[in-house]
Amino acid sequence: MNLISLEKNPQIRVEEKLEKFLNPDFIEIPLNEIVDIKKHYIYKDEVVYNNIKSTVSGIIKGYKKYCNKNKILDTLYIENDFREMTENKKVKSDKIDINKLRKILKDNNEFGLYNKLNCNVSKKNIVISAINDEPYVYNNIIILKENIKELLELIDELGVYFKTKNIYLIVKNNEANIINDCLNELGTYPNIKLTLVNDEYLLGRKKFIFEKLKLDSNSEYFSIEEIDKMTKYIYGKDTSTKIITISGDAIESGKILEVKKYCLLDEIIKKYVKINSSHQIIVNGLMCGFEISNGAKLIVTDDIFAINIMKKTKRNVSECIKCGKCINICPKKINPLKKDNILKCIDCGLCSYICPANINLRKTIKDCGENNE
Amino acid sequence: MNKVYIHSKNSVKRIIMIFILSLIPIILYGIYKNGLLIYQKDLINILSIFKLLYLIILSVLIYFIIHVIWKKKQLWSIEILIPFIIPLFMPPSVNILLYLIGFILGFTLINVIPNKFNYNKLALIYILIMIILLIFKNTSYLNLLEQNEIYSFNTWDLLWGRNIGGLATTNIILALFIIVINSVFSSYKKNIAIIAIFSFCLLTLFINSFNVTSIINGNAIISFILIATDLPSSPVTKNGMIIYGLLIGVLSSILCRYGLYYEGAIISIFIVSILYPLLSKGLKNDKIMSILKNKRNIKKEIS
Repeated sequence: MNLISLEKNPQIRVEEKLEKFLNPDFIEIPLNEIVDIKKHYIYKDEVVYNNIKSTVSGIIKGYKKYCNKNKILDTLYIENDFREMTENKKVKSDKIDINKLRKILKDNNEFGLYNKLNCNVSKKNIVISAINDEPYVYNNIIILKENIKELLELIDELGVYFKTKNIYLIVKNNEANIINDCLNELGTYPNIKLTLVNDEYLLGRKKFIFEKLKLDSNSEYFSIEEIDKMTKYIYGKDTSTKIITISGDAIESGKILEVKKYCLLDEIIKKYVKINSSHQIIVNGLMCGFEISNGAKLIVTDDIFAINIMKKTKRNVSECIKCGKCINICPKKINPLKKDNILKCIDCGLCSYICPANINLRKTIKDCGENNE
Repeated sequence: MNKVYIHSKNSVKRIIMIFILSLIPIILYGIYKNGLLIYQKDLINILSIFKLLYLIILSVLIYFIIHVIWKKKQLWSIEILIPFIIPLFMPPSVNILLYLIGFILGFTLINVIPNKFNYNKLALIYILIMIILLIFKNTSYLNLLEQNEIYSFNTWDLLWGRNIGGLATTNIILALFIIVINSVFSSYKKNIAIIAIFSFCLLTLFINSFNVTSIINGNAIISFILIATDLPSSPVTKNGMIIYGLLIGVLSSILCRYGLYYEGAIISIFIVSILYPLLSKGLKNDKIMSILKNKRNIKKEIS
């Protein structure tokens, strides 16, 4: 299976340092239904609704409407008092105890991670991926850079827990800064192998990195973001923030920001970003993301990780020339022309990326798949 | 909305430009062999050196009038390659007026036939032009120099273009260069060309007692490179391309051996381009597949 490197615009640069935006004026927490909250004041990390926690302390101002992917949701509107008041003290620990971690994950409804840390299951290999597939996104690399010692310590403990000596820390070979940092720290962890891979699209996904490293199914996969989340729970750190990358050719320079969850994108853009020309805003990557209209509100929820502010370009769509590039590049060997094996589509976007006629094959396949279902 | 906001540099315009640029060496050789060499022997005037260029320019003009102005289609569509390829295959003695009549008829026809029919447009236009030339007895593939003098060339000279063929279809070495350039820098179905050349050469050598000139003369090899690999009418899957190339190579060998020495390859490309979709549908037909599977099982039982 041949993966490709996406062609990147060298003019799009992102500053390789983490900036923090931890004091938004307001946050808006999306709710599936209007909940009758009788309180006037809310604490930081207090559960608002259905295990969703407030990320700031402040006054509840009311409800607003929010349009998210053609769905209209109600949001709880909270004014930040900047005090970061919490009801309960977080339990901090100096030692890493995986069994205690499992309990904390279960209490915090992190069932995905909880299930991965199964008791009494040994693994042949563990893969820790510090790769972001989407172009111009550097979240995982910055997380690794900022917390390398704690992350490596937890990774080493996971190796002991899963009884494995093969731990692969995957980094792209063009990330020179982080490679240096890793090499300086890895000396004390002989079981962790720094594995450099090419900057190829889809290596950030479990299936493809396993195939690249020729690992069997008795292997476990973690992203560096998951490891970071676990270290935050272990050491009682703040879990109300997340990292996003803002980049694009319509702005002067991109930034990697640590922001409070549920803050508004508008506030971040006003403070940190200078937009040069008429632009479009794409959320969660240029390959698999979605566009929001200018002026539309975007709340930075847990699933948002990248904002691309790109110059508006018009692409002429022409008739299919039957060059076959879409079939050759598809990791699942789907034939978009004959619509064979459509249900196998992993929605990577490579077919649309490579099509010389600029046909939106990703949408065609998705629509056909939905009709077949 | 399911859309991708980043794109490779690959575009239809880029594919077209690379293909046209890769044709320049053979066009220049065609002008040299069927223009400059004859001019040096005082058989034609200086303006006649560039006959090939005139045909290309006039064909592009017709494309622009019919395809862009009349049919209001995009300028940079894959059909723009037709006016660059067809003139290369014309006999050196072709009458420009007859060529234009044939090209206009052919190009109009392909714009009128609905797209749902799969056929090789280049081959159809070539066949129409050759029918008109045949009616007016203008089909000689010998240029004026070849008509007046007798030459004896070795195989290497023949490969380098001193054989008999169209205006710019005799230089096989430069034609192989087209495969390399387009395979590396553009979208090109090289499997079709390679398999067709290989099967054609093997069968032709076998039929003609291993006479090498039987594969070099004529338009066959360059037809496989330029016409058989026509993107819209040829298969897209690897297996499809191999079968397509094989069928073209075999049929070309038969047609070239039994009469159609210069036109046989292109006629076979046209026939296979029409029949191949029917063949591939038949192979996917459950009834036929089950009959084939039953035959295979019976053979196993017998053995």
